[in-house]
Amino acid sequence: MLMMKKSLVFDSGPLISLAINNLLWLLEPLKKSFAGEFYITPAVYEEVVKKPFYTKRYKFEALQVYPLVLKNILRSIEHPAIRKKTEELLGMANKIFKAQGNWIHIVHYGEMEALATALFLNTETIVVDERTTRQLIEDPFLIAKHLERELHMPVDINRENLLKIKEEVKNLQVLRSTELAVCAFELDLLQKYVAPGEKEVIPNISIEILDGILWGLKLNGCSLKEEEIEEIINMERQRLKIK
Amino acid sequence: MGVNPNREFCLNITVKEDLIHILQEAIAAIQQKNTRLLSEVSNHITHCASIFQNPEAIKTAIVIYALFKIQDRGITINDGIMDLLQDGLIQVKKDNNQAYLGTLEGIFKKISKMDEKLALYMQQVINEAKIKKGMKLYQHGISLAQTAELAETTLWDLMDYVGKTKLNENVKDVVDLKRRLAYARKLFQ
Repeated sequence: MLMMKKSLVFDSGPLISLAINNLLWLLEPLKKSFAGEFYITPAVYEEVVKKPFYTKRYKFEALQVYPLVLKNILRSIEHPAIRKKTEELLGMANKIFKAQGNWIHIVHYGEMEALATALFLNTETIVVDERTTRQLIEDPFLIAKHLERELHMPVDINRENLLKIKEEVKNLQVLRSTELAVCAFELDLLQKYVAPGEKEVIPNISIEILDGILWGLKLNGCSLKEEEIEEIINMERQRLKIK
Repeated sequence: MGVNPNREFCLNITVKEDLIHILQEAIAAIQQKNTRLLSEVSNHITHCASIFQNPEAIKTAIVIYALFKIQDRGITINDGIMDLLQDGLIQVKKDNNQAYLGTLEGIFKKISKMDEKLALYMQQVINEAKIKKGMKLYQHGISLAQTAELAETTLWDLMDYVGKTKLNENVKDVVDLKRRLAYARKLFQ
């Protein structure tokens, strides 16, 4: 592990969410506000730049992520120690839950590489939009309950591996693209979407923009619930003293 | 039904038995033009796929779902595809997994060439089948990136699809929104 400048490690999901919603531009001002580094892994780079570049549908999005890497707004990092830790975490995580005598492989190399990178950098925060990786960090027992419910069969838990993973990730906090969007809103970064005169036509336009962005993130795959969007909007209305 | 002593090259017995049953059901459903049965067959194999995550189970689910969509549109599934399904059944019984995967690829190719006028639609059917079957894996609890790899689709396509479902509405969180936001604010403000 290294003691370094404070940092965030990004999984692929939040970058995809932001790209699809034309919000990648937020990363530069957020990074300034954060006063630290934003990191991605080789697997994330592969997923959000290389692979979509060769598709017709997402090529343009890939070409919007790439400049962020060129400008070091997103720094790609790899290290033999990260590779080793990734294999370790993957081996543990995919040998926690068993059904019908078979280990259920719940996570992917790329997701564990992001975790391993966070541990290597001694960072406390990882940005992940998808549900399973988040639950693995925050409460792996939830995954067991979910698997049993969906598979309609008992799921055995290898407690040794589960406790090992919990110990590894105990200091990690998870943020989603949702929280980044809310922080951007509170930093007034989203004011750029308010055109002159719009406030007179659309009451509380800023809140409407935030609401639109949150729905955009949700509808494009961020694990964000409708009730959470309502909660955020109510919170911001109260903060801004809007009825 | 014998068991090949080289288990590592064999499908798990449960999966093998399931695949044989499912292929037999799928063939019957197509012959009878029973679209509903074909849909049910596709859902069943996806259930196995979440646990065993072997390419045979997942590709079979995708192929059968694609055939269901085609039949549902009123298009007749041609003899070439039926022959390949029968051949696939033989390969599974003989534990020839590589050959079986080959017949599934053959079915994909035949689907793409079924009707020149519908070539784009057929490709869309295959893509949709991959995403739909992938969604079942995600619904069962597998992560999005793992699902994308197993279903041979992209994270981009999966996220686009999952966002339009209610799959994320029932996600249980131990860290509530307020706590997460409070932490985010400390980092950025």
